[in-house]
Amino acid sequence: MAGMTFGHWRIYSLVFFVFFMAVCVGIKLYFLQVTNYKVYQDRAENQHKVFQTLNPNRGEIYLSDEKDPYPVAVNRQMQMVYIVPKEIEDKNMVAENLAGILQIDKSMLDEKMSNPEDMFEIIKHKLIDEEVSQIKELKIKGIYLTPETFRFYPSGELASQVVGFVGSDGKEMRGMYGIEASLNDKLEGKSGSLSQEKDTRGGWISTANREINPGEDGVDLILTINHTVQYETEKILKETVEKHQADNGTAIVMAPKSGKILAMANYPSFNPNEYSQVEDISVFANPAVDSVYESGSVFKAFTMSAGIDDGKVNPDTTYVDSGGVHEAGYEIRNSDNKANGKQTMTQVLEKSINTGVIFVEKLLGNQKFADYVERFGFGTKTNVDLPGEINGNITNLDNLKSNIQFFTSSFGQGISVTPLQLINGYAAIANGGMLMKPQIIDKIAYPDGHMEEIQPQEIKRVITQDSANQIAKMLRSVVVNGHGKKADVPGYLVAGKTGTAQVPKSDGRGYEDGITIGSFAGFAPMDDPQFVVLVKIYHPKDVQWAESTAGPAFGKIMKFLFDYYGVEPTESYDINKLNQAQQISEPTTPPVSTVVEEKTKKDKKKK
Amino acid sequence: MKARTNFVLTDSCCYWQPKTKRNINNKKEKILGFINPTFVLVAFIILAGILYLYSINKSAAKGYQYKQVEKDITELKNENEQLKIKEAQLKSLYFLEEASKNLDMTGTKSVSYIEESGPVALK
Repeated sequence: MAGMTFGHWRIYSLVFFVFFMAVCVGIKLYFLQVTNYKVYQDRAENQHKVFQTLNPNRGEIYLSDEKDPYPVAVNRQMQMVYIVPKEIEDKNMVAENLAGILQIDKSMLDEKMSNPEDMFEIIKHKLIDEEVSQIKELKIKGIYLTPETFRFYPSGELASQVVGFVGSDGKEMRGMYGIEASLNDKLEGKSGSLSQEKDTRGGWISTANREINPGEDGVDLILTINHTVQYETEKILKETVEKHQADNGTAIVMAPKSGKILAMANYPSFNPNEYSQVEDISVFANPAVDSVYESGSVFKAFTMSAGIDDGKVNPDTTYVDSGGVHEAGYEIRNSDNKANGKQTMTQVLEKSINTGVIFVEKLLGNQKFADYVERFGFGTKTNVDLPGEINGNITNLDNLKSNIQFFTSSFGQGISVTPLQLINGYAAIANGGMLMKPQIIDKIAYPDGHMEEIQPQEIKRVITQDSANQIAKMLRSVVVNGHGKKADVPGYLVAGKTGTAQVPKSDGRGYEDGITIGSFAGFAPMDDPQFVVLVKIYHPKDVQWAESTAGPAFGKIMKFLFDYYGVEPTESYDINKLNQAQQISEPTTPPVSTVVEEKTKKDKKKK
Repeated sequence: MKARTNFVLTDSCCYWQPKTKRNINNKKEKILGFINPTFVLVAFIILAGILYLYSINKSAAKGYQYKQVEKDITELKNENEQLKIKEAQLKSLYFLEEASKNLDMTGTKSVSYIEESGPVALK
């Protein structure tokens, strides 16, 4: 019986062992074939297949032009040279040759070739044609050329802050600023893949099946910006900034009926082909949408529009200007410190009288004034397809009991706006009171050949057509009789308004001494507006009135627009008279449009 | 040799069949008998093999041509892109302005619009 038990034990052990091994093998097979099957399938495929990611072509960006769109951002294939040190026999000779051709330091090449087992060292990117041909002529083993695709901007600085550039974020190349960044997803497309069986040497078997997922190329964008108008606007802006030794400047041209932006220029700008060499990266930004300023007297047009639209005033309504307004311990005076006596609303704009727009604001009431400011689009983004757009700041209008904030806001101080918001407000007046969405993308060309045309978008009616007509005539009067003479173009009904604004201190209350921003905003022809233009000049050194900085630049841009688009003059004019008008001497009044003096209660008590 | 006659007897009738005709039929049977099915199969396999090799060869050649054409297309596209860039550089207003200066050309100072007071004839 004991022998039987012993015998069974051995059999049972063997059976258990076999069973255990079978279970182990089963588990292992389960993991190999079920759980990790994908890994091993991929490994097997890697052995006899070649896989390649197909990078899509990045969409190109064009500016509108007379005939064909002009490319401002394209893909350019250039050669890169690299070496395989392991294959190079005479390292000194190679270093000397390459250093001579590529104009680089020989010691750097010696260092790169110092490791004899090294298989790959990049020597230089973006070779020019001459360098490529000279390297090909060398015919030295171990030196290789390979193509690389780069983003290239054929016109350099033109519209650089609008277009932006493509750069590396540390992981991949993508749009960093401008349209390149804001519409990066559409421009970059979708990656594809290719797999094909390979032979023992790694070569593709051409007869074998090829699996291709072609991916999708990015779309091409045609901007509303006109090539020639942009160039000329940039040129005039640059001349103006340099002439007045200003810190910087911005100019925008829009078509009021569609909201299309025809030019958006900033100076200084940069060359996106050499963005890595730019020292001050603040030039990459687009101040037209991503910076705010207190616009000053150009804002008076909106206060007056509100007053007229609400029926509180008309162009001939009169009031008495005593030279200043006292409110909450402050005295708000006119820029020229003068008391003009009885004045009409038209004269208020012509002479840019601060107390006049305060009079209108008082008639409107704080709530209605704040409503109109919001209706003109201030305090909210325009949602233009450009990155970094900001809201502006009209929070000073939140407290309806703080009259002083509303008084200063009526002439553009105390609330901040972006240049794009400002010109869009003027465009609404020019467009009969209808506010349009600013448009920068005109058409989208899809890789399949389909072309999508972006339609202009109405936002809302801000004021009535009649109110818009009245304010347009008042702004025309500013150009004819007021501070805007230098912005006039003979033969055309140009309407607009100057604004010389103070700059708030960045580190406390009050305004900077001696720093002003000159603006001129307007449109033409008055009875059928085709163009709206805004010019903003920051901190001019020689003259400080916008009449002498932004005004003439506005006039030059407007004249160019009439000539370029063939807009015929509607008025008879004498060219000599215009020349005389442009030679008006600089104003001698204090170099700010607004003087706000603080009188503390202590001062009052002393007095 | 004396010719033999055959009488064919069926259920309903009986008729005479000439000897010559029967001989021809016999001859046919003998010719067919010489084609060995194995030989036909082997010949078919060889022919099919040749056809397969031919088609594979042709396909390989086409594949090579296809690859070459693809390469040519890529090169032409690249060349086209380079020319497009060159064209854009030449059409750049910075370039045109510089070129016009070098040619001593000046910009338009003023634009005049002619009023048409009557019919205008071009000659």
